[in-house]
Amino acid sequence: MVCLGLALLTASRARRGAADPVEGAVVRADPVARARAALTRGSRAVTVIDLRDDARFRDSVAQSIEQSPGVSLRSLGDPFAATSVTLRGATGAHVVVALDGVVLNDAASDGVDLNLVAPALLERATLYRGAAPLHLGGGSLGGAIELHTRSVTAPSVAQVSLGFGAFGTRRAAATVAGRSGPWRALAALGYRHTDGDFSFYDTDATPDRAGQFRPRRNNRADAVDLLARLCHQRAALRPGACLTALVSGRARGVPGVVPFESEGPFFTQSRALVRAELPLVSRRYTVAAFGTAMRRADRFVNDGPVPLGYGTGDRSETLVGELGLRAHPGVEGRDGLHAMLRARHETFRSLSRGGDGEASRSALFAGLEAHHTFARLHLDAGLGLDALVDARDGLAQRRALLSPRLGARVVLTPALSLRATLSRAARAPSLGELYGDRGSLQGNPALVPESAYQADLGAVFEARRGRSRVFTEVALWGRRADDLIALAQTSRATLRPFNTGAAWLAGVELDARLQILDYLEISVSYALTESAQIAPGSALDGRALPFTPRHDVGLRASYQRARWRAGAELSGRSAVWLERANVASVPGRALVGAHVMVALVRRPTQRVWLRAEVNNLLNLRTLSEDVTLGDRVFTRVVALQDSFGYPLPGRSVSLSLSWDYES
Amino acid sequence: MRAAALAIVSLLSLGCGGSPAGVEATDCAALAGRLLGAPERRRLLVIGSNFTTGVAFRIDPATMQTEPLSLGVTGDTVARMAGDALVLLHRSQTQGDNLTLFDARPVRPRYVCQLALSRDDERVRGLRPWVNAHDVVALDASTLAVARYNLGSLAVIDLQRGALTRTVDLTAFQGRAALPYPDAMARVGDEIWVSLQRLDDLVHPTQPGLIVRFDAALTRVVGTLALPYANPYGPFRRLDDGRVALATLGDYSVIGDGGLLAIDPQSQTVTVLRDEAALGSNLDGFVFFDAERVLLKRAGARDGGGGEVGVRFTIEGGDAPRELVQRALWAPAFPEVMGALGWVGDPGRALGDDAAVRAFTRDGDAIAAFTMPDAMRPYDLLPVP
Repeated sequence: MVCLGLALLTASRARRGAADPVEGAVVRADPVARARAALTRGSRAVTVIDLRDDARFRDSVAQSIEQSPGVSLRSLGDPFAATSVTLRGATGAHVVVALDGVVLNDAASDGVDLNLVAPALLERATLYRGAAPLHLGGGSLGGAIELHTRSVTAPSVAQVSLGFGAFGTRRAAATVAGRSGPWRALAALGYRHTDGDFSFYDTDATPDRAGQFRPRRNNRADAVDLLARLCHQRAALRPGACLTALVSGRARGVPGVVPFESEGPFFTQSRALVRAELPLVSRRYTVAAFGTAMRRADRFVNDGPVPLGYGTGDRSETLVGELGLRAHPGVEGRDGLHAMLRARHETFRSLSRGGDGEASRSALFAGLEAHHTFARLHLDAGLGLDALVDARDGLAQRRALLSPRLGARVVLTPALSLRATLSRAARAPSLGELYGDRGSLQGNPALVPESAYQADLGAVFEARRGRSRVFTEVALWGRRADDLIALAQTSRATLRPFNTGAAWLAGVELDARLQILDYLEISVSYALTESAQIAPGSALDGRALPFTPRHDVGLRASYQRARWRAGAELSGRSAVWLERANVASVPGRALVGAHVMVALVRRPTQRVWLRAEVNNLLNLRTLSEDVTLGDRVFTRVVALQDSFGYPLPGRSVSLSLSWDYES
Repeated sequence: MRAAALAIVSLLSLGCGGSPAGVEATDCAALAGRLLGAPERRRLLVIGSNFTTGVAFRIDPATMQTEPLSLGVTGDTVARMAGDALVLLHRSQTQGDNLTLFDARPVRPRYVCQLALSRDDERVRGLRPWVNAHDVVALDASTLAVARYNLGSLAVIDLQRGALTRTVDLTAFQGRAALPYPDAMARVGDEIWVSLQRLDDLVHPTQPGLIVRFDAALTRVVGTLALPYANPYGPFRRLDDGRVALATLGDYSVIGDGGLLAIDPQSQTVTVLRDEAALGSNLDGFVFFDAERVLLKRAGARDGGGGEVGVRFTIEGGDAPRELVQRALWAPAFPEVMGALGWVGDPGRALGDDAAVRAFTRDGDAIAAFTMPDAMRPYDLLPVP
């Protein structure tokens, strides 16, 4: 890829060594380009994904980040279904997900469903593989994903998109934004719906017999998301006082695993988030005060036949309030001291037939990070301290978590640089793990936090010739995780979490992108991940961690010319183990997608786009694996899936129409 | 160009990936007429589980050697013998909910067939129910009856036809329970006995347990037998004096509402051999060495608030009780006696550390320990040919 890029660059008609005369201006005006430029100057392994063009045509933000190196998704069905991310072998609970700086991982759950955020509301996603920045706290054992909602850069913007597709999928999104003097306002509304009735391969609970295709049941989902922001800013990308509100509601059937789909179970989730930021800008430092209030409410209803042990009306509510101060020199990414102080209080209430419960966590996070550049050497060092108090039924537990980090970047040539980081992260047990749910999960107050040391070494090659550009990053990384928490059965109907041991992980990542002139872009990502549990004396010692594919590859090509845009992508991965003993696995697979867009209207201030997209183009709906039964070897066919029993859809086609206005 | 277009269209319309086939189904009739024999059982089949998936292996007590078996077990599989047939009851929601038959006569069990345990017309609004089979018994040389725990009924399987031929509804006996929850089955003389747990939908008993007695063909109810305690749990066992023993667990969160019962098939009288109050723990498994000594599996109480819950295996009778194994975790496998030894499924520590199948003499002396492969926990033990 690099060689091909160099050859093409050499052949380019652009003048050797000439910088793009408008690059600086573009970076200043474009929030995504600016974030990318700021972050890639540092020592972290980071990828900034522009979601403005594609995300509004998609059902899930997960679809847009899947191609990034080191990212593996685990979906429980269609793009509306719960999706968790595995980042460098770290599963849901070990990946921090934040929205506009607000950490969405709460003390009551063990990960964030990426599909809770409507993709149409988002501007960019920043993936931190390994060490995460200070403002995301110290709990990212594997990395972090920060989602950013849209910012207002133009005097007035309007965007409306409509889409429909296979399995009753419908999407609608509208955004209006504008500015008047220092005031900037944005309002966005998104609606998503699916019938979810895709067909899947079902063996009718007899996996050793031939099956048949039948439609998924009770898989309908609706989601409504509303974003509103009002800012007082002197310039688009300068800090300003902002008030942001995000309200989301989702309702969906819970079909469960096949072949035991249930008609009755239904799940509703609502999330409301309000965040206020008040920056106090001085000549050298920006100090911003912020406050966030967040409420998450989940309700599970089962009005169908009730399987044994299922509740019929379980509810839970999480309330989060936080206040903090954040300081950094000038604009973000500059050298100097970065500081963060955040107080956060979370209350979790559950009401179920097993009993009601309430627990809380109060946390104070303080962090300091120093960035400095000496000629070609950039150094950064930081330390975060989390002081936590967990409480339930009058009993309180206190703990302190340290998260130090060191990083360096050396610019060897204008095109080639090396970077390295060394960091430690720690995640406190969730409130459920500590105190139980008064149902099937028993608490274990003796749990200690999970922690991980990680090291990362990368080489970045980036060159630009005229309107062509090549970017290649190769990274080697390693992590040792300790005191990992896993569940074990303690009675006929209960599970309890235990600290069960440690693991080593190491990997190689390749991220290569080649842009040829303005119309062709090819990107390749590949991750090789090795993992081994450390459990001396146990059969698990040396075995791989579950849900971590050894090979994960993504290929993407996009083309744009005049009023046409087209793209194709391939996402493939090897088999993943489903449990720690490495006995049960899901076979590997490769999925192909493609899209084509045409600008029906192309005026200076207006665009009307028509887009057709095909996911799982080759209609892969089954996977094969060899099984030995008795004295014979058979080939068993299973439904396409990421995890036990949750089938993924076959080929789906969607059509979208979008009107963009910008003055 | 046209050829290329046709090729693409064909590819799109045909799809890609494995063609929908399954494991070649051998005829279930291969075991027809062979369900009533009693081949000598000289080895112990061990099913291990980590609750996601499972493994199987055999222990030969004569040589104390183990041998792995590829039986396709799931995270929730139990095994039963019926004549020459090794019957696996898979109850996993994700990996299979069915009856799978192996011919146990060959040196390595031979796969015979796999059958669904519900009828098409039992689909609720088109959805297949989760059967969760708990036990199986041979009605005759070619017919099996299966206790369908989640459906509150029995299924009759005709191996000659390789199909479920009829079901027997038990809901008339559920009383105040959400379902009858049939657990164990046994042939007692000319009758088939079925124990009913009669629980609510949160696994709490609603009333004393019940045994429903059928004729040998499972065509009519001969009678019922009310138990003094609730929630009969685990297999029926025959005592040397002809009585049938059964454990009753009561409520898992209560100690003192269950016990070990002996039932005289002739007089239908029920004797309490051990009660939970005296034991100080729940009783959820047992096996007799002889008329005097019994190996008990005793579980702690579920306290709902994070208190310790565990398991103890003890030998009671004769001299003072001998403690064999005590763990903080629960142990799913019922103990067995084979080759004059008592066999215990020790769950080990968290996530299978130290998990083993352990053999003890009737005096409680440890004879051997077989570490579980893949850090699985013993899930079911069964003497097999």
